[in-house]
Amino acid sequence: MFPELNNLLNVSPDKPEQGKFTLLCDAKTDGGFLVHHFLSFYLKANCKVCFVALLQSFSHYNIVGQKLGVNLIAARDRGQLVFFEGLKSTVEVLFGSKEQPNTLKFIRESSSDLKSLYEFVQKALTPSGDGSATSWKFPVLLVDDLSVLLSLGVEAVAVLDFIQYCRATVCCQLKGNVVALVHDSDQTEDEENAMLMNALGHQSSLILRAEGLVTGFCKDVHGQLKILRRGLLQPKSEQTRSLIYQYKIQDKSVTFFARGLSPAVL
Amino acid sequence: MLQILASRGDLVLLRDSVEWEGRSLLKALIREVALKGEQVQVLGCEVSEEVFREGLDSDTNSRLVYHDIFRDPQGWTGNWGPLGILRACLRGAEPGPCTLAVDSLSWLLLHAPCSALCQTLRALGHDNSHPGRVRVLGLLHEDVHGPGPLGALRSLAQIEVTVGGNLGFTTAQVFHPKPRHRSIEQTYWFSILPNFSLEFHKEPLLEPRPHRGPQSPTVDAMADLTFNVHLSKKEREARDTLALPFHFSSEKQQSLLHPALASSTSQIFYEPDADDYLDQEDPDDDLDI
Amino acid sequence: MESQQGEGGTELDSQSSIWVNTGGNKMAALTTGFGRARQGGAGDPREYKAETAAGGDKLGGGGGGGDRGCSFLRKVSVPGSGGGGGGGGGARLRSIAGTRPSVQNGQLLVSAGLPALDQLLGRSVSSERRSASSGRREGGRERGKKEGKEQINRRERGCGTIQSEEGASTRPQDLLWGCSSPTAPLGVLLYLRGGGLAVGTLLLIEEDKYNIYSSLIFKYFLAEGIVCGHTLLVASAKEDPGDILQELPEPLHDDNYKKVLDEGRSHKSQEEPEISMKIAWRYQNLPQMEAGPGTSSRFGHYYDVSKRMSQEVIQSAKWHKFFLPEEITSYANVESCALNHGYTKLLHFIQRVISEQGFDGSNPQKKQKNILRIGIQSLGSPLWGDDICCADTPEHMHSLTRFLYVLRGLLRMSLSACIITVPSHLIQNKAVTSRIRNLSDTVVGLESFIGSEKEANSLYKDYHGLIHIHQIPRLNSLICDVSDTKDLAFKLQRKVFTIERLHLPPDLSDTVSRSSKRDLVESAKQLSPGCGMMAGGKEHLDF
Repeated sequence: MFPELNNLLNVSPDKPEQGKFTLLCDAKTDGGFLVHHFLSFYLKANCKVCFVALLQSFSHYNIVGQKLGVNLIAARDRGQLVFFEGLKSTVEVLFGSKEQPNTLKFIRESSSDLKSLYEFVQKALTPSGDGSATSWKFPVLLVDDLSVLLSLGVEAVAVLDFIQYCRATVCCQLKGNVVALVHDSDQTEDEENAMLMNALGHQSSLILRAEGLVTGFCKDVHGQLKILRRGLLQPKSEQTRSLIYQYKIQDKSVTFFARGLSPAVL
Repeated sequence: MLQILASRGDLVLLRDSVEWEGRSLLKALIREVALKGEQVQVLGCEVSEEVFREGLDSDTNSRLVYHDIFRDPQGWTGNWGPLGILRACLRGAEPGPCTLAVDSLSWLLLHAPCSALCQTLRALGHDNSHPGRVRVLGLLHEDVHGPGPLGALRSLAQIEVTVGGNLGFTTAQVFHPKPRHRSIEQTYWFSILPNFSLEFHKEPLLEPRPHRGPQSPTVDAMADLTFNVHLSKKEREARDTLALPFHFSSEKQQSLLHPALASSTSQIFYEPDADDYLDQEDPDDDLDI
Repeated sequence: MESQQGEGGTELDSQSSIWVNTGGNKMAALTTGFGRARQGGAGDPREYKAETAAGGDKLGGGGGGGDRGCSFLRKVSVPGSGGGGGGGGGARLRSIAGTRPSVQNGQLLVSAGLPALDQLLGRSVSSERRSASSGRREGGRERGKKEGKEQINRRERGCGTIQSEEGASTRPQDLLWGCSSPTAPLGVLLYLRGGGLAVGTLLLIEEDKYNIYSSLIFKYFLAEGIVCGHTLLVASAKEDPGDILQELPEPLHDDNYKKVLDEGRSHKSQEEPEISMKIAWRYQNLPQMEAGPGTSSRFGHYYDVSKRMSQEVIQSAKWHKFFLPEEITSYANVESCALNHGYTKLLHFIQRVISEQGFDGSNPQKKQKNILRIGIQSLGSPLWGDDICCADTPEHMHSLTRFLYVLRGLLRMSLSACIITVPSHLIQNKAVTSRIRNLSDTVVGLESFIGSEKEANSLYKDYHGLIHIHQIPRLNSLICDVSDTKDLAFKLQRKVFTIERLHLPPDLSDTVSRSSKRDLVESAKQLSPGCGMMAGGKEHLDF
């Protein structure tokens, strides 16, 4: 969790917003730091988190999480975190026994239906009613990242519908949040991915977009973050619907500053 | 703008983008229609019914019939096609003039063939129970689709409204092609209040933007230089004999290591005056780095 | 600074330049911290080195002030001994040959077989870089607060910088910048703490047009495995893996590498007599990319491409072979799978090796742990039965990306490192290329000048091609260690493959025609800034 990002978004773990879909994008840079931010943020906010991790292994998220002050193993043990490890699951699908039901079975069957993945999320986040789940504030679904699903042969519309089902369940029914990362491959003619990103943008109420600097690599400014709030705003906050900050990622935090005001440049 | 919308047309396209969303405008238009006492059918694919009704007054909400596809986009819990629902929307409607708001056509385009959607939309406008009295407000996310489907839908529409923005204001560009008349093309500046009423503004005075003209043809950088580019032989010799300040030589090393021995022409002697103010502190101490 | 601007002119006022220097002397004396640095420099060069390193170096971080030198010295033993500061994984696995723990993130690293490449792929903290830093876009990464302040001081009082740099450069070897590289003592040691490939990750090499240099890197990777005693798994659809193994280059052992590098150098100096260059002090201490391997480290070797590895060594190596034409003997029993047939076979083969040989750590009672090095040649080419190179909208568009995803899963769960070469220039649909990169960990592109118009460009006359680091993984960390230099070029010398930072060749003649100069500058502008960030508009300024 990066306190500076919380300030920019005007939230804190004590009073997080509810019922929102936040889209994370990265273009020409790695937006993974945003995923780590939201993972640690919601764990600290005492929310029930279902993390669909498709890109990296559990240990990666865990080690970075420790740097940000959350322990994923402990969170998983106390039932706060439900971790879906896509890499492991895929290997099991391909080399495990066939009878075993698996969430990612489409890899083997060439059908691209994400229904089983949705059912996994639904099961993970719906309160079981035995009282144990009531201690968590609200449920959160986190996905890293949706572009992987396209690489696995899922159609963009299926991914969109998956997110829509998740929104219907998590945001509307359970009053929780959905956060998902998608890569922007702007210059690479990946039309399917571009369509996915834009369509997800229309579903979201907040878009955080990390971009590499147009002028190239810089040691002290790693990129810029565009914050775009969608939907109807209070008239007074009209000016702040779209903001751009530059950032520098450090070992355990990220510092944000206005464009051109990096401490290294001043 | 509202007058234009008041005229009956088959299809009004509301085009929006990720940057400037058009759902608020759609809701504002629905409110205007409902205020006239008309019933509004809404086909909701992208947001839940609660979210859609949020912010609208109870009067409007009571005239609003919400057909919900959002909860089950692929029919995992039931089985039907999205276009079937679209057709069914008007069946339960009261006779008389009727408005159908589609949120959104983009969603339908992703889930149904383009031609089938166009046919269905066309058929809606000529529905027997509401002859000539159906108006369809369709939200279309133009950055989601390629030029083909976009063009097909535009050819069906009587009025196109493109939502955009400038200098913090929302704009709506209304384009109303009229056969045998001059087509209307106008830009409105407005903001939407929390109760979804529209507030129109005068066009703000646009400051003339910095004009980026075509680049001036490249000038020969060598043309009017105040120094020589090339050296004569003599000049080069003179240059080579010169000890460059940035070049480290043994003499300089000596002069640095034993400053006393180096009797160079410029020496700085500093004798503090009795009244001199000597600040012992680090002058940069207050910098927060 | 003024004096430098006057450099191009015909007249130089020596008087004024001396004045600048004495002014600098005074300023430095007033600035706390530099006096100390200077003393160190004059006394024992090592001490100065250590001190400057601590600021730019994460390892020394946290400890500001007095003990910086000590904390650095303590850490310097890490790369040699192969133990120490790694995370839990590192300590547990310290006995595996040819690996070392990543000091920062607790991973186990293996060498790619090309130390120059290892450097680029990981943390390469160098003492020199620290002292070279000033100005807009440089500066140590993790400076402590105090350090940062000093840096600012230096910049604001430009003269102070002069003084401290000169204080450092009183060492004789720094004065011999032009030929100091293989012997540059301390910088090299520090370099070697840098990168490597993390175990469990995938190195993707985007082939050059004729697959000359990429196959060389492929062989380096395998040769390094044999030298370190790792198990190999070689997969190919074109050449018999046995033949590939026969062509592996001979390692250059510690005393040989120096000779060869020197040889290359003297070879060069015979052709064109060494021209004594006048180099501004400001640039004297800049590190050279091609720092040779250090004798104290067993991590990473250079190889002599002119010799083959000896038969005994190859025969003693443990390796597994996957040759596609031999594997696909029967088309029966083909599982209805979303994956292409060859890929499925290969995945099952790799999985079997990993589980049967205990690389997944599943049965800890099995003997000594070892690393599995997987090399897959020209993946995605039509010989693998893939059509991404043949069609714009391929039928099996997702076959390769699915394969890579499953492979990624296998790698993450085992003690293995993998190199894959892919003919990216043949892939028709660029969307596939970007997805492939996204599913790999490290992505390195090679662009050879053979048959390209760049071959004739005088900017590139010293090189054989460009190397583009497209992606560096962020593993177990928020940050990744990107090297400062994005413009890198490689050349294949008589025996060794070297990577250097690309620079404009020195302009030795005064009579170079204006037009050709402009061409050079233009072509230099076309260089991409690298690592997935492309300079866009010409008029754009980020700050």
